[in-house]
Amino acid sequence: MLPILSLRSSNHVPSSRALAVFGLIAVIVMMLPAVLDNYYMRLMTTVMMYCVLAWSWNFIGGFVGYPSFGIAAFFGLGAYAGAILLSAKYIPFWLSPAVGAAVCFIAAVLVGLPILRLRGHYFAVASFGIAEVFREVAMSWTDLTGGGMGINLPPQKPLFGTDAMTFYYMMFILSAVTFLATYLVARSRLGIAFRCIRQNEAAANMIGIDTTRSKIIAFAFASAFPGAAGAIYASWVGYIDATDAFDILISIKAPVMALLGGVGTVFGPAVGAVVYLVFEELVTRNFLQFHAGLLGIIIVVIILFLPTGVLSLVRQKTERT
Amino acid sequence: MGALLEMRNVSRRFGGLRAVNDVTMSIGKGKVVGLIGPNGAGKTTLVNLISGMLKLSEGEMWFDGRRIDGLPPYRISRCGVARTFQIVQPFPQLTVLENVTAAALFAGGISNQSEAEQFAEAQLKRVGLKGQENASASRLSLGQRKRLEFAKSLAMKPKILLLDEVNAGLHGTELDEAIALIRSLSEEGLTLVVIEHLMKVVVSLCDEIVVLHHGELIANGLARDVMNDPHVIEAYLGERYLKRRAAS
Repeated sequence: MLPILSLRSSNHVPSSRALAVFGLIAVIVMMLPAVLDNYYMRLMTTVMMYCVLAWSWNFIGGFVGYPSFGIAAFFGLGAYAGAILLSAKYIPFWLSPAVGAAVCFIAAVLVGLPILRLRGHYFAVASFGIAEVFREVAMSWTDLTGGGMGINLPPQKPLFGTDAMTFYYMMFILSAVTFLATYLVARSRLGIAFRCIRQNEAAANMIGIDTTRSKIIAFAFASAFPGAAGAIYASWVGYIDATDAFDILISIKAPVMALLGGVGTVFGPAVGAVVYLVFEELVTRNFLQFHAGLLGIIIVVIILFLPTGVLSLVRQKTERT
Repeated sequence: MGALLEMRNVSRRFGGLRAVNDVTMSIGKGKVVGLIGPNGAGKTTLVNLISGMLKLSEGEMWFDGRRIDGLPPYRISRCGVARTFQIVQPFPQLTVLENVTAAALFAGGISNQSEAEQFAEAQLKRVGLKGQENASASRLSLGQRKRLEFAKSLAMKPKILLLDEVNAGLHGTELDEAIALIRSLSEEGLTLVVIEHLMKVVVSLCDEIVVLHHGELIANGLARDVMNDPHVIEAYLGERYLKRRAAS
Protein backbone atom coordinates (compact mmCIF):
# COMPACT_ATOMS: atom_id res chain seq x y z
CA MET A 1 0.00 0.00 0.00
CA LEU A 2 2.73 2.45 0.90
CA PRO A 3 4.78 2.26 -2.31
CA ILE A 4 1.67 3.21 -4.29
CA LEU A 5 1.27 6.25 -2.09
CA SER A 6 4.83 7.43 -2.51
CA LEU A 7 4.84 6.73 -6.23
CA ARG A 8 1.67 8.65 -6.78
CA SER A 9 2.43 11.54 -4.52
CA SER A 10 5.95 11.88 -5.89
CA ASN A 11 4.23 12.91 -9.10
CA HIS A 12 2.79 15.90 -7.32
CA VAL A 13 5.09 16.94 -4.54
CA PRO A 14 8.76 15.96 -4.50
CA SER A 15 10.21 14.04 -1.57
CA SER A 16 12.49 15.84 0.85
CA ARG A 17 15.40 13.78 -0.46
CA ALA A 18 14.75 14.96 -4.00
CA LEU A 19 14.55 18.52 -2.72
CA ALA A 20 17.88 18.14 -0.92
CA VAL A 21 19.59 16.86 -4.08
CA PHE A 22 18.09 19.70 -6.03
CA GLY A 23 19.21 22.23 -3.42
CA LEU A 24 22.74 20.87 -3.58
CA ILE A 25 22.75 21.22 -7.37
CA ALA A 26 21.52 24.79 -6.97
CA VAL A 27 24.37 25.62 -4.57
CA ILE A 28 26.91 24.14 -6.99
CA VAL A 29 25.40 26.11 -9.87
CA MET A 30 25.64 29.23 -7.73
CA MET A 31 29.37 28.71 -7.17
CA LEU A 32 30.22 27.63 -10.72
CA PRO A 33 31.08 31.08 -12.15
CA ALA A 34 34.32 30.94 -10.14
CA VAL A 35 35.60 28.16 -12.37
CA LEU A 36 33.74 28.47 -15.69
CA ASP A 37 35.17 30.02 -18.84
CA ASN A 38 33.09 32.27 -21.08
CA TYR A 39 31.72 29.48 -23.25
CA TYR A 40 30.40 27.52 -20.28
CA MET A 41 29.11 30.65 -18.60
CA ARG A 42 27.03 31.33 -21.68
CA LEU A 43 25.91 27.72 -21.86
CA MET A 44 24.85 27.64 -18.21
CA THR A 45 22.98 30.93 -18.57
CA THR A 46 21.15 29.42 -21.52
CA VAL A 47 20.40 26.23 -19.54
CA MET A 48 18.84 28.30 -16.78
CA MET A 49 16.83 30.31 -19.28
CA TYR A 50 15.55 27.08 -20.82
CA CYS A 51 14.65 25.82 -17.35
CA VAL A 52 12.56 28.93 -16.84
CA LEU A 53 10.79 28.41 -20.17
CA ALA A 54 10.14 24.71 -19.56
CA TRP A 55 8.89 25.29 -16.02
CA SER A 56 6.67 28.09 -17.29
CA TRP A 57 5.13 25.92 -19.98
CA ASN A 58 4.59 23.25 -17.35
CA PHE A 59 2.07 25.45 -15.50
CA ILE A 60 -0.40 25.52 -18.37
CA GLY A 61 0.72 22.56 -20.48
CA GLY A 62 1.75 20.20 -17.70
CA PHE A 63 -0.36 20.89 -14.64
CA VAL A 64 -3.53 22.06 -16.40
CA GLY A 65 -3.05 20.07 -19.61
CA TYR A 66 -3.61 22.93 -22.04
CA PRO A 67 -0.92 22.52 -24.72
CA SER A 68 0.27 26.07 -25.24
CA PHE A 69 2.44 27.05 -28.19
CA GLY A 70 2.47 30.64 -27.09
CA ILE A 71 5.55 30.85 -24.89
CA ALA A 72 7.38 32.83 -27.60
CA ALA A 73 4.63 35.47 -27.55
CA PHE A 74 5.42 36.34 -23.96
CA PHE A 75 9.16 35.82 -24.18
CA GLY A 76 9.12 38.34 -27.02
CA LEU A 77 6.73 40.70 -25.29
CA GLY A 78 8.94 40.70 -22.18
CA ALA A 79 12.03 41.25 -24.31
CA TYR A 80 10.41 44.22 -26.06
CA ALA A 81 9.01 45.66 -22.82
CA GLY A 82 12.46 45.51 -21.26
CA ALA A 83 14.22 46.83 -24.37
CA ILE A 84 11.85 49.76 -24.90
CA LEU A 85 11.78 50.86 -21.27
CA LEU A 86 15.53 50.43 -20.76
CA SER A 87 16.49 52.34 -23.89
CA ALA A 88 14.11 55.14 -22.88
CA LYS A 89 15.69 54.98 -19.40
CA TYR A 90 12.28 54.71 -17.74
CA ILE A 91 13.32 51.90 -15.43
CA PRO A 92 16.55 50.79 -13.80
CA PHE A 93 18.23 47.68 -15.21
CA TRP A 94 17.62 45.46 -12.19
CA LEU A 95 13.89 46.12 -12.39
CA SER A 96 13.54 45.11 -16.05
CA PRO A 97 12.76 41.39 -15.43
CA ALA A 98 10.01 42.29 -12.97
CA VAL A 99 8.55 44.78 -15.43
CA GLY A 100 8.71 42.21 -18.24
CA ALA A 101 6.93 39.72 -15.98
CA ALA A 102 4.25 42.22 -14.97
CA VAL A 103 3.52 43.29 -18.55
CA CYS A 104 3.22 39.64 -19.63
CA PHE A 105 1.08 38.72 -16.64
CA ILE A 106 -1.47 41.39 -17.55
CA ALA A 107 -1.30 40.58 -21.27
CA ALA A 108 -1.80 36.88 -20.50
CA VAL A 109 -4.92 37.56 -18.45
CA LEU A 110 -6.38 39.62 -21.31
CA VAL A 111 -5.43 37.10 -23.99
CA GLY A 112 -6.30 34.10 -21.81
CA LEU A 113 -9.89 35.18 -21.23
CA PRO A 114 -10.91 34.43 -24.81
CA ILE A 115 -8.51 31.66 -25.83
CA LEU A 116 -8.79 29.54 -22.69
CA ARG A 117 -12.37 28.83 -23.71
CA LEU A 118 -10.86 26.64 -26.41
CA ARG A 119 -9.62 23.17 -25.64
CA GLY A 120 -7.06 20.72 -26.99
CA HIS A 121 -5.91 21.35 -30.55
CA TYR A 122 -7.99 24.49 -30.84
CA PHE A 123 -6.23 26.05 -27.87
CA ALA A 124 -2.84 24.99 -29.25
CA VAL A 125 -3.53 26.68 -32.59
CA ALA A 126 -4.87 29.83 -30.93
CA SER A 127 -1.87 30.14 -28.63
CA PHE A 128 0.38 29.69 -31.64
CA GLY A 129 -1.51 32.49 -33.36
CA ILE A 130 -0.92 34.86 -30.44
CA ALA A 131 2.83 34.70 -30.97
CA GLU A 132 2.42 35.43 -34.67
CA VAL A 133 0.13 38.40 -33.95
CA PHE A 134 2.61 39.83 -31.43
CA ARG A 135 5.44 39.40 -33.93
CA GLU A 136 3.48 41.18 -36.65
CA VAL A 137 2.69 44.03 -34.28
CA ALA A 138 6.35 44.34 -33.29
CA MET A 139 7.32 44.37 -36.97
CA SER A 140 4.84 47.07 -37.96
CA TRP A 141 4.76 49.40 -34.96
CA THR A 142 7.96 51.07 -36.09
CA ASP A 143 7.69 54.13 -33.82
CA LEU A 144 7.77 52.03 -30.70
CA THR A 145 9.73 48.92 -31.69
CA GLY A 146 11.97 50.10 -34.47
CA GLY A 147 10.15 47.73 -36.83
CA GLY A 148 12.54 45.66 -38.93
CA MET A 149 15.50 47.61 -37.53
CA GLY A 150 15.01 46.16 -34.06
CA ILE A 151 16.24 47.76 -30.88
CA ASN A 152 19.78 48.27 -29.65
CA LEU A 153 19.90 48.19 -25.89
CA PRO A 154 22.14 50.53 -23.94
CA PRO A 155 24.96 48.75 -22.09
CA GLN A 156 24.26 48.39 -18.39
CA LYS A 157 26.49 48.60 -15.38
CA PRO A 158 27.02 45.00 -14.19
CA LEU A 159 25.05 44.06 -11.07
CA PHE A 160 27.36 41.18 -10.13
CA GLY A 161 31.06 41.51 -11.04
CA THR A 162 31.24 41.13 -14.79
CA ASP A 163 28.61 41.24 -17.52
CA ALA A 164 28.66 37.48 -17.88
CA MET A 165 28.20 37.00 -14.15
CA THR A 166 25.39 39.54 -14.06
CA PHE A 167 23.30 37.66 -16.61
CA TYR A 168 24.27 34.34 -15.09
CA TYR A 169 22.97 35.36 -11.69
CA MET A 170 19.92 37.12 -13.07
CA MET A 171 18.90 33.90 -14.81
CA PHE A 172 19.82 31.98 -11.69
CA ILE A 173 17.53 34.08 -9.50
CA LEU A 174 14.75 33.93 -12.09
CA SER A 175 14.97 30.14 -12.37
CA ALA A 176 14.98 29.85 -8.58
CA VAL A 177 11.83 31.97 -8.41
CA THR A 178 10.19 29.95 -11.19
CA PHE A 179 11.08 26.71 -9.41
CA LEU A 180 9.72 28.04 -6.13
CA ALA A 181 6.45 29.02 -7.81
CA THR A 182 6.22 25.56 -9.40
CA TYR A 183 6.89 23.82 -6.10
CA LEU A 184 4.44 25.94 -4.13
CA VAL A 185 1.71 25.58 -6.75
CA ALA A 186 2.22 21.80 -6.94
CA ARG A 187 1.56 21.37 -3.25
CA SER A 188 -1.17 23.97 -2.93
CA ARG A 189 -4.93 23.92 -3.33
CA LEU A 190 -4.42 25.64 -6.68
CA GLY A 191 -2.22 22.74 -7.82
CA ILE A 192 -4.97 20.28 -6.98
CA ALA A 193 -7.42 22.39 -8.97
CA PHE A 194 -4.99 22.33 -11.93
CA ARG A 195 -4.68 18.56 -11.85
CA CYS A 196 -8.43 18.08 -11.58
CA ILE A 197 -8.98 20.31 -14.61
CA ARG A 198 -6.41 18.35 -16.61
CA GLN A 199 -8.15 15.08 -15.90
CA ASN A 200 -11.77 16.13 -16.27
CA GLU A 201 -12.69 19.76 -16.61
CA ALA A 202 -16.47 19.29 -16.32
CA ALA A 203 -16.12 17.18 -13.19
CA ALA A 204 -13.70 19.74 -11.74
CA ASN A 205 -16.30 22.45 -12.21
CA MET A 206 -18.86 20.19 -10.58
CA ILE A 207 -16.86 19.84 -7.36
CA GLY A 208 -16.63 23.58 -6.93
CA ILE A 209 -13.47 24.49 -8.82
CA ASP A 210 -13.60 27.84 -10.61
CA THR A 211 -12.05 26.41 -13.76
CA THR A 212 -11.91 29.67 -15.72
CA ARG A 213 -10.07 31.49 -12.95
CA SER A 214 -7.67 28.58 -12.37
CA LYS A 215 -6.81 28.33 -16.05
CA ILE A 216 -6.17 32.06 -16.30
CA ILE A 217 -3.85 31.96 -13.29
CA ALA A 218 -1.93 29.06 -14.84
CA PHE A 219 -1.69 30.86 -18.17
CA ALA A 220 -0.55 34.07 -16.46
CA PHE A 221 2.20 32.16 -14.60
CA ALA A 222 3.17 30.44 -17.83
CA SER A 223 3.56 33.88 -19.41
CA ALA A 224 5.02 36.06 -16.65
CA PHE A 225 8.22 34.02 -16.18
CA PRO A 226 9.05 33.90 -19.91
CA GLY A 227 8.40 37.66 -19.90
CA ALA A 228 11.06 38.12 -17.25
CA ALA A 229 13.41 35.79 -19.13
CA GLY A 230 12.81 37.79 -22.30
CA ALA A 231 13.67 41.05 -20.55
CA ILE A 232 16.95 39.59 -19.27
CA TYR A 233 17.67 38.06 -22.66
CA ALA A 234 17.23 41.44 -24.37
CA SER A 235 19.92 43.06 -22.22
CA TRP A 236 22.10 39.99 -22.44
CA VAL A 237 22.29 39.90 -26.25
CA GLY A 238 22.12 43.71 -26.49
CA TYR A 239 19.99 43.75 -29.64
CA ILE A 240 16.56 42.32 -30.40
CA ASP A 241 14.35 42.19 -33.44
CA ALA A 242 10.95 40.63 -33.99
CA THR A 243 12.09 37.41 -35.68
CA ASP A 244 14.54 36.69 -32.87
CA ALA A 245 12.36 37.69 -29.91
CA PHE A 246 9.23 35.91 -31.14
CA ASP A 247 11.12 32.93 -32.54
CA ILE A 248 8.70 30.04 -33.02
CA LEU A 249 11.40 27.65 -31.84
CA ILE A 250 11.01 29.05 -28.32
CA SER A 251 7.35 27.99 -28.33
CA ILE A 252 8.34 24.52 -29.46
CA LYS A 253 11.43 24.02 -27.30
CA ALA A 254 9.53 24.73 -24.07
CA PRO A 255 7.03 21.84 -24.40
CA VAL A 256 9.69 19.56 -25.90
CA MET A 257 11.93 20.08 -22.87
CA ALA A 258 9.03 19.50 -20.48
CA LEU A 259 8.11 16.31 -22.37
CA LEU A 260 11.71 15.11 -22.26
CA GLY A 261 11.96 15.54 -18.51
CA GLY A 262 8.45 14.73 -17.35
CA VAL A 263 5.27 16.70 -17.98
CA GLY A 264 3.37 17.97 -14.96
CA THR A 265 6.15 17.17 -12.49
CA VAL A 266 8.14 19.63 -10.40
CA PHE A 267 11.67 18.69 -11.51
CA GLY A 268 10.90 17.22 -14.94
CA PRO A 269 11.03 20.45 -16.94
CA ALA A 270 14.48 21.37 -15.56
CA VAL A 271 15.82 17.88 -16.22
CA GLY A 272 14.41 18.11 -19.74
CA ALA A 273 16.02 21.51 -20.29
CA VAL A 274 19.44 20.15 -19.34
CA VAL A 275 19.02 17.01 -21.45
CA TYR A 276 17.85 19.07 -24.40
CA LEU A 277 20.71 21.54 -24.26
CA VAL A 278 23.33 18.83 -23.79
CA PHE A 279 22.06 17.04 -26.89
CA GLU A 280 21.77 20.29 -28.80
CA GLU A 281 25.38 21.22 -28.05
CA LEU A 282 26.78 17.75 -28.68
CA VAL A 283 24.91 17.26 -31.91
CA THR A 284 25.63 20.73 -33.25
CA ARG A 285 29.33 20.38 -32.57
CA ASN A 286 29.73 16.89 -33.99
CA PHE A 287 27.21 16.74 -36.81
CA LEU A 288 27.21 20.20 -38.31
CA GLN A 289 25.57 19.09 -41.57
CA PHE A 290 22.56 17.33 -40.10
CA HIS A 291 22.32 18.65 -36.55
CA ALA A 292 18.68 19.76 -36.49
CA GLY A 293 17.55 16.53 -38.11
CA LEU A 294 19.56 14.37 -35.74
CA LEU A 295 18.34 16.32 -32.70
CA GLY A 296 14.80 15.79 -33.90
CA ILE A 297 15.35 12.05 -34.22
CA ILE A 298 16.84 11.88 -30.70
CA ILE A 299 13.86 13.73 -29.26
CA VAL A 300 11.38 11.46 -31.03
CA VAL A 301 13.20 8.36 -29.80
CA ILE A 302 13.33 9.57 -26.18
CA ILE A 303 9.65 10.51 -26.13
CA LEU A 304 8.71 7.25 -27.84
CA PHE A 305 10.52 5.09 -25.30
CA LEU A 306 10.13 7.30 -22.24
CA PRO A 307 6.71 8.88 -22.65
CA THR A 308 6.67 10.02 -19.04
CA GLY A 309 10.08 11.64 -19.38
CA VAL A 310 13.69 11.02 -18.42
CA LEU A 311 12.83 11.72 -14.79
CA SER A 312 10.72 8.56 -14.69
CA LEU A 313 13.96 6.51 -14.96
CA VAL A 314 15.26 8.04 -11.76
CA ARG A 315 11.94 7.63 -10.04
CA GLN A 316 11.59 3.95 -10.96
CA LYS A 317 15.06 3.31 -9.65
CA THR A 318 14.49 5.00 -6.31
CA GLU A 319 11.10 3.31 -5.95
CA ARG A 320 12.75 -0.08 -6.26
CA THR A 321 15.47 0.48 -3.67
CA MET B 1 -41.39 22.74 5.55
CA GLY B 2 -40.11 25.30 3.07
CA ALA B 3 -39.04 24.37 -0.41
CA LEU B 4 -35.31 23.86 -0.82
CA LEU B 5 -35.33 23.58 -4.57
CA GLU B 6 -37.92 25.23 -6.74
CA MET B 7 -38.35 25.10 -10.49
CA ARG B 8 -40.63 27.52 -12.23
CA ASN B 9 -41.63 26.71 -15.80
CA VAL B 10 -38.24 25.25 -16.58
CA SER B 11 -37.62 24.31 -20.21
CA ARG B 12 -34.61 23.20 -22.15
CA ARG B 13 -34.58 22.86 -25.92
CA PHE B 14 -32.01 21.17 -28.09
CA GLY B 15 -32.85 22.59 -31.49
CA GLY B 16 -36.45 21.55 -32.09
CA LEU B 17 -36.47 18.98 -29.31
CA ARG B 18 -37.86 19.97 -25.95
CA ALA B 19 -35.85 17.76 -23.63
CA VAL B 20 -37.44 19.38 -20.62
CA ASN B 21 -40.71 21.18 -21.17
CA ASP B 22 -42.29 23.64 -18.76
CA VAL B 23 -41.54 21.79 -15.56
CA THR B 24 -42.73 23.40 -12.35
CA MET B 25 -42.10 21.67 -9.07
CA SER B 26 -40.65 22.16 -5.64
CA ILE B 27 -38.70 19.88 -3.39
CA GLY B 28 -39.08 20.29 0.34
CA LYS B 29 -36.21 20.23 2.84
CA GLY B 30 -35.37 16.74 4.04
CA LYS B 31 -37.49 14.98 1.43
CA VAL B 32 -36.42 12.03 -0.69
CA VAL B 33 -37.85 12.51 -4.15
CA GLY B 34 -37.80 9.83 -6.80
CA LEU B 35 -37.41 11.05 -10.36
CA ILE B 36 -38.64 8.40 -12.76
CA GLY B 37 -39.59 8.11 -16.38
CA PRO B 38 -38.73 6.14 -19.51
CA ASN B 39 -35.34 6.47 -21.19
CA GLY B 40 -35.06 9.85 -22.90
CA ALA B 41 -37.72 11.41 -20.70
CA GLY B 42 -35.33 14.22 -19.69
CA LYS B 43 -34.32 13.07 -16.21
CA THR B 44 -30.60 13.54 -16.67
CA THR B 45 -31.20 16.79 -18.56
CA LEU B 46 -33.13 18.03 -15.55
CA VAL B 47 -30.23 17.15 -13.24
CA ASN B 48 -27.85 18.90 -15.65
CA LEU B 49 -30.06 21.98 -15.50
CA ILE B 50 -30.12 21.99 -11.72
CA SER B 51 -26.35 21.53 -11.42
CA GLY B 52 -25.67 24.20 -14.03
CA MET B 53 -24.00 21.99 -16.61
CA LEU B 54 -26.75 23.03 -19.01
CA LYS B 55 -28.34 26.44 -19.22
CA LEU B 56 -32.10 26.82 -19.03
CA SER B 57 -33.87 27.84 -22.22
CA GLU B 58 -36.75 29.22 -20.17
CA GLY B 59 -37.86 29.43 -16.58
CA GLU B 60 -36.27 29.96 -13.21
CA MET B 61 -34.43 27.75 -10.77
CA TRP B 62 -34.33 28.68 -7.08
CA PHE B 63 -32.27 26.98 -4.43
CA ASP B 64 -32.32 27.79 -0.74
CA GLY B 65 -33.83 31.21 -1.38
CA ARG B 66 -31.55 32.25 -4.18
CA ARG B 67 -31.83 32.11 -7.89
CA ILE B 68 -29.26 29.72 -9.33
CA ASP B 69 -30.09 29.47 -13.02
CA GLY B 70 -27.32 31.09 -15.02
CA LEU B 71 -24.70 30.55 -12.33
CA PRO B 72 -21.65 28.49 -13.38
CA PRO B 73 -21.59 24.90 -12.04
CA TYR B 74 -18.83 25.59 -9.51
CA ARG B 75 -20.93 28.33 -7.86
CA ILE B 76 -23.99 26.11 -7.73
CA SER B 77 -22.01 23.28 -6.16
CA ARG B 78 -20.64 25.69 -3.55
CA CYS B 79 -24.24 26.63 -2.70
CA GLY B 80 -24.77 23.02 -1.64
CA VAL B 81 -25.95 21.18 -4.73
CA ALA B 82 -24.06 17.94 -5.29
CA ARG B 83 -24.68 15.38 -7.98
CA THR B 84 -23.38 12.05 -9.07
CA PHE B 85 -22.95 11.17 -12.69
CA GLN B 86 -24.74 8.34 -14.40
CA ILE B 87 -21.45 7.56 -16.09
CA VAL B 88 -18.98 7.90 -13.24
CA GLN B 89 -16.41 10.65 -13.60
CA PRO B 90 -13.53 10.25 -11.19
CA PHE B 91 -10.19 11.97 -11.68
CA PRO B 92 -8.42 8.83 -12.93
CA GLN B 93 -4.84 9.78 -12.08
CA LEU B 94 -5.62 10.89 -8.57
CA THR B 95 -5.91 8.44 -5.72
CA VAL B 96 -9.28 7.67 -4.22
CA LEU B 97 -8.47 9.85 -1.23
CA GLU B 98 -7.28 12.72 -3.41
CA ASN B 99 -10.48 12.57 -5.43
CA VAL B 100 -12.60 13.02 -2.34
CA THR B 101 -10.23 15.53 -0.74
CA ALA B 102 -10.50 17.73 -3.82
CA ALA B 103 -14.28 17.80 -3.44
CA ALA B 104 -13.97 18.71 0.25
CA LEU B 105 -11.40 21.42 -0.53
CA PHE B 106 -13.43 23.23 -3.13
CA ALA B 107 -17.16 22.69 -2.82
CA GLY B 108 -16.93 21.51 0.79
CA GLY B 109 -15.28 24.76 1.78
CA ILE B 110 -12.56 23.17 3.95
CA SER B 111 -9.55 25.16 2.84
CA ASN B 112 -7.05 23.42 5.11
CA GLN B 113 -5.61 20.46 3.21
CA SER B 114 -5.09 18.09 6.11
CA GLU B 115 -8.55 18.84 7.52
CA ALA B 116 -10.03 18.22 4.09
CA GLU B 117 -8.17 14.92 3.96
CA GLN B 118 -9.56 13.85 7.32
CA PHE B 119 -13.05 14.77 6.27
CA ALA B 120 -12.55 12.84 3.03
CA GLU B 121 -11.38 9.78 4.95
CA ALA B 122 -14.55 9.87 7.01
CA GLN B 123 -16.66 9.95 3.83
CA LEU B 124 -14.75 7.03 2.34
CA LYS B 125 -15.34 5.04 5.48
CA ARG B 126 -18.99 5.87 5.28
CA VAL B 127 -19.44 4.58 1.73
CA GLY B 128 -17.36 1.50 2.42
CA LEU B 129 -14.17 2.38 0.58
CA LYS B 130 -11.92 2.29 3.61
CA GLY B 131 -8.64 0.65 2.74
CA GLN B 132 -8.79 1.88 -0.86
CA GLU B 133 -7.60 5.41 -0.04
CA ASN B 134 -4.31 5.14 -1.90
CA ALA B 135 -5.50 3.14 -4.87
CA SER B 136 -5.62 4.96 -8.15
CA ALA B 137 -9.21 5.85 -9.01
CA SER B 138 -8.80 4.26 -12.43
CA ARG B 139 -8.25 0.86 -10.82
CA LEU B 140 -11.58 0.67 -9.03
CA SER B 141 -14.37 -1.65 -10.10
CA LEU B 142 -17.62 -0.13 -11.29
CA GLY B 143 -19.29 -0.68 -7.94
CA GLN B 144 -16.38 0.99 -6.18
CA ARG B 145 -16.43 3.89 -8.61
CA LYS B 146 -20.08 4.46 -7.86
CA ARG B 147 -19.21 4.60 -4.18
CA LEU B 148 -16.38 6.98 -4.94
CA GLU B 149 -18.85 9.25 -6.72
CA PHE B 150 -20.97 9.04 -3.62
CA ALA B 151 -18.07 9.91 -1.31
CA LYS B 152 -17.10 12.84 -3.52
CA SER B 153 -20.63 14.22 -3.37
CA LEU B 154 -20.78 13.82 0.40
CA ALA B 155 -17.43 15.58 0.79
CA MET B 156 -19.01 18.59 -0.86
CA LYS B 157 -21.21 19.00 2.24
CA PRO B 158 -24.35 19.25 0.13
CA LYS B 159 -27.77 20.45 1.16
CA ILE B 160 -29.25 18.49 -1.68
CA LEU B 161 -27.83 15.43 -3.37
CA LEU B 162 -28.86 14.46 -6.87
CA LEU B 163 -28.23 10.79 -7.48
CA ASP B 164 -28.30 9.99 -11.17
CA GLU B 165 -28.72 6.23 -11.38
CA VAL B 166 -26.20 5.69 -8.68
CA ASN B 167 -27.45 2.13 -8.30
CA ALA B 168 -27.38 1.13 -11.97
CA GLY B 169 -25.06 -1.79 -12.55
CA LEU B 170 -24.96 -2.74 -8.89
CA HIS B 171 -26.03 -6.20 -7.81
CA GLY B 172 -27.22 -8.01 -4.69
CA THR B 173 -25.36 -6.89 -1.60
CA GLU B 174 -23.91 -3.82 -3.30
CA LEU B 175 -27.41 -2.64 -4.04
CA ASP B 176 -28.62 -3.28 -0.50
CA GLU B 177 -25.66 -1.38 0.92
CA ALA B 178 -26.29 1.54 -1.40
CA ILE B 179 -29.93 1.68 -0.38
CA ALA B 180 -29.00 1.55 3.29
CA LEU B 181 -26.57 4.40 2.75
CA ILE B 182 -29.15 6.55 0.98
CA ARG B 183 -31.63 5.86 3.77
CA SER B 184 -29.17 6.82 6.48
CA LEU B 185 -28.39 10.08 4.69
CA SER B 186 -32.06 10.85 4.50
CA GLU B 187 -32.45 10.13 8.20
CA GLU B 188 -29.78 12.75 8.85
CA GLY B 189 -31.99 15.28 7.10
CA LEU B 190 -30.25 15.49 3.72
CA THR B 191 -32.57 16.24 0.83
CA LEU B 192 -32.22 13.71 -1.96
CA VAL B 193 -33.34 13.41 -5.56
CA VAL B 194 -33.02 9.85 -6.77
CA ILE B 195 -33.14 8.93 -10.42
CA GLU B 196 -33.79 5.26 -10.50
CA HIS B 197 -35.22 2.57 -12.73
CA LEU B 198 -35.71 -0.09 -10.09
CA MET B 199 -39.20 0.60 -8.80
CA LYS B 200 -38.52 -1.52 -5.74
CA VAL B 201 -35.82 0.95 -4.74
CA VAL B 202 -37.95 3.98 -5.53
CA VAL B 203 -40.90 2.74 -3.52
CA SER B 204 -38.82 1.78 -0.52
CA LEU B 205 -36.86 5.04 -0.39
CA CYS B 206 -38.93 7.91 -1.63
CA ASP B 207 -41.48 10.13 0.05
CA GLU B 208 -42.52 11.67 -3.22
CA ILE B 209 -42.27 10.72 -6.84
CA VAL B 210 -41.96 12.90 -9.90
CA VAL B 211 -42.61 11.34 -13.29
CA LEU B 212 -41.22 12.79 -16.49
CA HIS B 213 -42.40 11.73 -19.92
CA HIS B 214 -41.19 13.35 -23.15
CA GLY B 215 -39.74 16.15 -21.06
CA GLU B 216 -43.02 16.92 -19.37
CA LEU B 217 -43.98 16.43 -15.81
CA ILE B 218 -46.94 14.04 -15.89
CA ALA B 219 -47.26 13.27 -12.21
CA ASN B 220 -45.92 14.64 -8.98
CA GLY B 221 -46.98 13.71 -5.50
CA LEU B 222 -46.86 11.18 -2.70
CA ALA B 223 -45.33 7.90 -3.75
CA ARG B 224 -48.50 5.88 -3.20
CA ASP B 225 -50.69 8.22 -5.25
CA VAL B 226 -48.29 8.48 -8.13
CA MET B 227 -47.90 4.73 -8.41
CA ASN B 228 -51.64 4.36 -8.89
CA ASP B 229 -51.95 7.20 -11.36
CA PRO B 230 -53.28 5.75 -14.66
CA HIS B 231 -51.13 8.15 -16.72
CA VAL B 232 -48.01 6.96 -15.01
CA ILE B 233 -48.94 3.33 -15.50
CA GLU B 234 -49.58 3.93 -19.16
CA ALA B 235 -46.44 5.95 -19.80
CA TYR B 236 -43.91 4.16 -17.70
CA LEU B 237 -44.85 1.40 -15.36
CA GLY B 238 -46.95 -0.56 -17.84
CA GLU B 239 -49.80 -2.97 -17.29
CA ARG B 240 -47.46 -5.78 -16.48
CA TYR B 241 -46.15 -3.97 -13.43
CA LEU B 242 -49.70 -3.48 -12.25
CA LYS B 243 -50.53 -7.15 -12.65
CA ARG B 244 -47.35 -8.27 -10.94
CA ARG B 245 -48.09 -5.99 -8.04
CA ALA B 246 -51.67 -7.22 -7.80
CA ALA B 247 -50.45 -10.79 -7.83
CA SER B 248 -47.91 -10.33 -5.06
